[in-house]
Amino acid sequence: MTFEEYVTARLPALLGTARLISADPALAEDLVQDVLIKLHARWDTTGHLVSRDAYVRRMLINELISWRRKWSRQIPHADPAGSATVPDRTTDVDERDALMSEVRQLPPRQRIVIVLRFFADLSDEQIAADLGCAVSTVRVHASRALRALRITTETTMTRTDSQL
Amino acid sequence: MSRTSEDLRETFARHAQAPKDVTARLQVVVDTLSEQRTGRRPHHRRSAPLLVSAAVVAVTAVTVVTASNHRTAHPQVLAGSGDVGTAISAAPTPFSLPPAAGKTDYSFPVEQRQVLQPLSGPKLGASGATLRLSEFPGKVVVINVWGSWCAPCKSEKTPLKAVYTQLSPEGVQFLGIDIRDNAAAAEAAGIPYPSIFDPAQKTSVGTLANSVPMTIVLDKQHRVAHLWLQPITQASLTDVVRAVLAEN
Repeated sequence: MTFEEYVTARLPALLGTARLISADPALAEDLVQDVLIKLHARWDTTGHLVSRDAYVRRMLINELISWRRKWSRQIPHADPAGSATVPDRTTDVDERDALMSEVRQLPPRQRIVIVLRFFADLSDEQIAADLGCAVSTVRVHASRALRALRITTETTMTRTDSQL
Repeated sequence: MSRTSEDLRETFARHAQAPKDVTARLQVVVDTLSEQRTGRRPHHRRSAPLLVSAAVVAVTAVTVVTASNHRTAHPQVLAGSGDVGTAISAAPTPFSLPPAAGKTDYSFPVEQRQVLQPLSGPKLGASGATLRLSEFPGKVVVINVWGSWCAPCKSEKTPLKAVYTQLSPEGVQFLGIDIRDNAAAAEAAGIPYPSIFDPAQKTSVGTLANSVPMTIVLDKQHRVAHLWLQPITQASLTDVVRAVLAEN
């Protein structure tokens, strides 16, 4: 399989995962781009990998985490383009947008865990491998994230101190 | 309100959908990368330093494209990636003039040859058309830097035409670089082969030419094989081109 074939087949899924775990569409785009460039450079040595999807997913997660480490060196600025979701009319959609904005407020690792579990449909073992942590840690992240999402927004916002 | 994991799945599925322009921008990145991969492959094998410069270019590409697509714009991304393509082909140490003052006739043995930087510009006498060195892959190319105002260029016009008539049927490409000229005067000069119109000396070869006329013979891989900083003679040009033509 060539790099082009792989990317054509997997780009939507990769971008989807990136959009969910980064909680920022513009950042997601940058992350995916960085991953593609690195993947392209390493294609010859990673071509034989059976678990290429897992490898690429892990690259993406590492990109996100190292981007977050770099954050302290960047200058935050307002987002004039308004990348936040546009409110929709139906209450149904309102509810899902509310849920998504709560997901965005989760600590990154909790968010990564639930995205991998409910979007990428991975097992806790696979998620643990992606994050480089123990399976039990994954379960703790997941249960905290799920608990946070079920309760009200104010509580979610006060939870930022207790996580990794 | 009660939420289930199904709500979460549904929300994720909806928010994972990227707008078309995002996908399109990333596709540009993929195309650029795959162009490097397929189109420029032979260069990658040639030498180790190249890999380093290719990596540098890749990093530059990240910066360029990232900077431009962060919430602002799209056309720059396209322009940026085009530049990346050309920059890659220039990655093996590009040709520069050897610093030998006063010398006007340089011959480069095969193992010392360096590639010419990408060369392109508006085609003289064809408004809007672009002429590129890369249009002549695998051909021996004779590049002559000239100007209609330059007396020595006029003196070498006849021998150049003679060599052109003699050797172009054998697959030698002739290419002029017309510098510091006005288009009407240059067109009136009646050069039989195409020229790049480079009045501001901005092309890679125009920049090299600190004296005119200058003539360069490129081998089939477009590396500089011979260079004159003086008017050529019919015999010497023919000999050099035939020798380069005979190489493999």
